[in-house]
Amino acid sequence: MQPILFWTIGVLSLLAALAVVSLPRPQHAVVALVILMGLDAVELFLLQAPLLAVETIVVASGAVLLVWSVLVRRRRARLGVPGRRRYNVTKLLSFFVVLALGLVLVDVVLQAAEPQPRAGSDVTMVTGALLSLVLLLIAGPVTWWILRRARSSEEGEQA
Amino acid sequence: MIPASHVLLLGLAQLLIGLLGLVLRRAGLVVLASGLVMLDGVMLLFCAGIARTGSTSQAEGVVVLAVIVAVALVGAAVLYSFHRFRRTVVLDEHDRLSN
Repeated sequence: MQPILFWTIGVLSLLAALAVVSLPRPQHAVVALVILMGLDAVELFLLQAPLLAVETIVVASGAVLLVWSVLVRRRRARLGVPGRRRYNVTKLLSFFVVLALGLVLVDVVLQAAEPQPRAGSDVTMVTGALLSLVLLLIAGPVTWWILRRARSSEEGEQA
Repeated sequence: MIPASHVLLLGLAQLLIGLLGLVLRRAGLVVLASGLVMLDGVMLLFCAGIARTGSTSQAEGVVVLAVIVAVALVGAAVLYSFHRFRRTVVLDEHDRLSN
């Protein structure tokens, strides 16, 4: 793949990421996130990681659409933040901490020379699949427990 | 072939943009989306790592994808729970550990 193609898609994905964090309406941010994941899937496909690309499209976009259907489409939650955006000292400090961390990380990346190829990773696909399965098996019941607790407490309040 | 440092830079940029959203925004859904942007950047970093090692397993990336799904699931459930308790998903309103 040519670097120009990589960076064209890369710049588009960065614009989508900026849209996610800067759009005022959360619904639009979710749409931008779906676009970002699609662009990243194209990048992964072009980087010869087709399995990751397909999984990104199917699994991650499915998860985002789940968030959309639970929180956005039903219009149950007041998703936006009313009033003008307020900046306080904590947020400004956080911004500069992120900026400093970014400069350090970029410096580390630029200092790193092109790596020497070495033997393949110790993590096999079976290990990765098992780890993912365990993670999802834990996440499912945790999600169910949180939702059940929220519903039961609301029913208790109504009674 | 794209040099690994290019992929690293792109992943790093996504990671930092997501981190900015995480610390600057107040709407819960946008904070959750920013976390997912960060994890997307991490997946690109893993992809660069795969290119560095010459491995073809992609196993690390699969684990990161599972983390993305778990974060989206649990995050959405927590936001739903927040909304049930306080009728808002603005994170500044949720400043107590108990009801």
